[in-house]
Amino acid sequence: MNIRKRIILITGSIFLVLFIASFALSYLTLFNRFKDVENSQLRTDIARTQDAFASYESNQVLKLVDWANWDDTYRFISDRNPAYIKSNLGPDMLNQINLDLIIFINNKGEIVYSLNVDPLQLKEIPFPDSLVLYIQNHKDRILTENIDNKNGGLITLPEGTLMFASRPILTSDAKGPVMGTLVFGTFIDKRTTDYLSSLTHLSTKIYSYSQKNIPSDFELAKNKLNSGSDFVNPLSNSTVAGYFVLKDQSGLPALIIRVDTSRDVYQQGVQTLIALWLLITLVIAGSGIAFYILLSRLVISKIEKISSSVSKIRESKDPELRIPVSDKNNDEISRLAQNINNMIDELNEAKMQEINERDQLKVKMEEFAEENIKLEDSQKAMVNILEDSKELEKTIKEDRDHIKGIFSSIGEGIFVVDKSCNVTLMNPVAENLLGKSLKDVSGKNILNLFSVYKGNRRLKDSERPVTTVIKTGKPFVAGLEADMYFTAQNKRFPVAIAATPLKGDGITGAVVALRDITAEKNSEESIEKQVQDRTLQLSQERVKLQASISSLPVGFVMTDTQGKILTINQSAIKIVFPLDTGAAGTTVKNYTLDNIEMRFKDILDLKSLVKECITEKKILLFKEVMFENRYIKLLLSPIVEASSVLGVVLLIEDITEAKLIQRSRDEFFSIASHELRTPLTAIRGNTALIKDYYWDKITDKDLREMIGDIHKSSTRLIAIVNDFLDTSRLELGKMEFKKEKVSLEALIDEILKEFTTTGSMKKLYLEAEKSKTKIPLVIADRDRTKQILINLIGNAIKFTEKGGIRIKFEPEKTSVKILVADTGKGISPESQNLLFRKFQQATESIFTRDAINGTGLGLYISRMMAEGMGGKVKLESSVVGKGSVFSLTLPIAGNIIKNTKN
Amino acid sequence: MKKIILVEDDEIVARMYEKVFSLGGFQVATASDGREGLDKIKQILPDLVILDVMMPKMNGLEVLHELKLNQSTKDIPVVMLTNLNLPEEVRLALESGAARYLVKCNNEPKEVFEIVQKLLE
Repeated sequence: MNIRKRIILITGSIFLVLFIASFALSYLTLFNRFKDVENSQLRTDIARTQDAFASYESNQVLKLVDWANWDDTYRFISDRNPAYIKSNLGPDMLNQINLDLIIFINNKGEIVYSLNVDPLQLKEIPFPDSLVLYIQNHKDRILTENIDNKNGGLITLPEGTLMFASRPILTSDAKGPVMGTLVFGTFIDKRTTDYLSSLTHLSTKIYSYSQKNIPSDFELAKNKLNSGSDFVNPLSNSTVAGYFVLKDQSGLPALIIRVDTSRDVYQQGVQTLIALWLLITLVIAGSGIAFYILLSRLVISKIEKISSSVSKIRESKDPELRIPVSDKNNDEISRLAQNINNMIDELNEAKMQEINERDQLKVKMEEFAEENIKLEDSQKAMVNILEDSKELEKTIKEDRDHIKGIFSSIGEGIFVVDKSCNVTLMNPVAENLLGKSLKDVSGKNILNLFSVYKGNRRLKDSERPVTTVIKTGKPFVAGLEADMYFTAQNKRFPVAIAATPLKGDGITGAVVALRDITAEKNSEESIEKQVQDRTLQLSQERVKLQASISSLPVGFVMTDTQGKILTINQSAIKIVFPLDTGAAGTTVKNYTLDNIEMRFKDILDLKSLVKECITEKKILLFKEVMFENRYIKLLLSPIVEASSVLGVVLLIEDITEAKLIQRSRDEFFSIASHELRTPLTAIRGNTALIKDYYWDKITDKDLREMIGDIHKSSTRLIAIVNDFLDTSRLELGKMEFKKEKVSLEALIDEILKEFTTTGSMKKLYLEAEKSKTKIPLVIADRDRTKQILINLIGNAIKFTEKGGIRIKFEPEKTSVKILVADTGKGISPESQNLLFRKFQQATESIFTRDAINGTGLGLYISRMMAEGMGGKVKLESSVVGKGSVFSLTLPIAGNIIKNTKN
Repeated sequence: MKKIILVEDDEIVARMYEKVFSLGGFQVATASDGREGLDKIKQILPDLVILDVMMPKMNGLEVLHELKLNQSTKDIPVVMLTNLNLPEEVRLALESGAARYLVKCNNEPKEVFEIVQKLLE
């Protein structure tokens, strides 16, 4: 913390303490003094109010004496003259003398007359019994025949606090004997406070001491007054109240009275105090600030100035800078500055000396260094020259090797010749081409070493690339297309030739590069041939394709991605534009997608379908659409090549005929079923009736056999009809399957029982393996499942002669598989493929069909029904001569989420 | 003696079933079309009705519907006995309140009789 802050803190705290002390002192002395003055003033006011109340009482007593010492009254007690009442006693008259109650009592204690007046209504009201009771209770004191008897004061009645007074009734000159007693009474109320205020000019409030629900300040005063004679309570900044109690005749507090007076003195005191505090604040703050400024000016700022000058000198490093010192002041601080300046002077001097010495040393050092450098430079120069020459030699060698490498590794044969076409250099390829080495041909004329042909014409020497290049100085290039040939000795092959002049001082020679292009030439020819073949093939394919498209019975329209029609065949035109068919000049160009869209506009939005087909790469199929009284089938398919869509194919098929055929077939089957079944029912039923009810009557053995055969045959015929019907319904998708929870174990039990009881079992065993685990329920149509299983087991029995049939359960994750394994004759691999087809039996052709074995629809129907229930029928395995295993698989209950009704 | 009414348009088939039920100890009345059948049922109020489906004038499903609407006949059990077993018809008949739906050609007369007998117990 710097000095400045410390000074501010210390002086600030001293002045704060002074400040608080003077505040407290002035408050304690001055303010309490003012309060004392106010209190004594209020006590005076209370005394004045008490005096006023006494005068209120004495007023009443004066009037009472007037009335009691009066001959008229004296007489009235004995004669009770009504005239007295009429002239003196009445509500108005009582009120005039501020009286509420009056009562005349004779010596016998009898009430001669009494009157109670309501001061507001000015009407007579019933006289309070409480007062009569009070008088009776105190008759020893009130009703005496003593002339000087006096009674008066406050009494507390249920009706209120009564100011009461009594006097003996005497003659006008106050002589006895006492005739009776006169009693006056006035209730303390607003009249009383008005009277008091009129005398004291102070606001006054009176409450009965026993009254409940008096204001809270009175409650407070009540408590305080228990211990003192009066109580002072400031109500606000402008009013202070004093309270006192008046006691009744029996010495108990009867009234509590409040006197309000304004707080002039108090307010004056507050103002004085504020003025004083303001003055103190100003003086202390002023002197504080003055003290601080003085200190800051005289001491701190000067010290700061010195400090900043010193740091400036330090930072600038200028030895000439000094702390500015004024000559006028010669105080302690100025002397400090002067001393610092002197110290800097001495320091500077010492430093100067040191610098001088160092400079001399430096000069000597430099001289040494210079000589040294010269020596080193000459040494270095020598080394450099040596290294440079080595480097040069190395790069030259490298360049040479490099060029040599390139030269010999180039695929072309390279010949370097001089100006007169004599060979100077040749690479190994060139040697190879010539079949001679460099040393054999070096210096010989290149024109004589080999000849060049263009096609079949031999080039003259002047036409040879090498001569033209040397002559013109321009490079020469002849590629594949130039058809040049190289010949030497017996060799002839096509070449590419490049020749370029060597330039030094004018043209100094040339470089000729030759390449054998036999391979390139051959491959080019073969590619050309392939392209020709392929083009031919493609055009043939296209013609074929075009022909097949146009002859398609299905309408075929192909568009590009923009919706432009590329191909439209006659069938499409026939279906979509039946009126145009056969009209001249109906070609692709005549139709646009817009035309087709217009035709379909009532059925579907073709444009957006095409768009969907392209963007989603999706095949869209509309199985059956009504189009102008015909049924058509529409298919849109994107043409996708390497994941991008090239266009759309629209297939339009007229399925009206097919639909009509289908419908008539449905009707046929429906009718046929009923019509065939009815007579068959009669045959089967009647033969059964004979067997069941009349068998005893048929005694002839042959007859019995014949009837039995008729019954069997009719039953089989019905089975065949049923098979046909089932097939037809399955194929039309009209068979409904219930979704029931089926226990396959129970179902197999039931089926096995039926097989064994009907005695169709030959001498075979037929058993189901008991599964160790619980077989879950499957979801299937129970009757249809039974039909499938009967078919599978029936087949097994049919084709098995010895051994038997074993049934096994295999629960899988989401399904249960039932295996029906027989030890029958088995099925050959060729027949296995045909097994589940319509009208197929393992027993080969239609001519060898075993007539007893049914329609050949059994497995076909079983397979279709199993698929209809979400399962399958399969041939698991079969070995000729050993037996077959068929299986039925059905989904487990609980695995089917959807429960569709259809 | 239990009374049943057999409504069947095919004379031969009707005779066959009449025989088996008579042999079984029932009193059998027959009707050869739907209208006649309905009238007879309302008149006789039998213990059970055997009803064919494909019939002239009024088909079996219509008769069944009428029976179930009528207060006096609605509790008489009805066995549909027909050769028509299209899934829609079977479902419709059972939903309309038929007690059984039997296919004539797939059941021996005696089996039909036994089913009816069981129903009446």
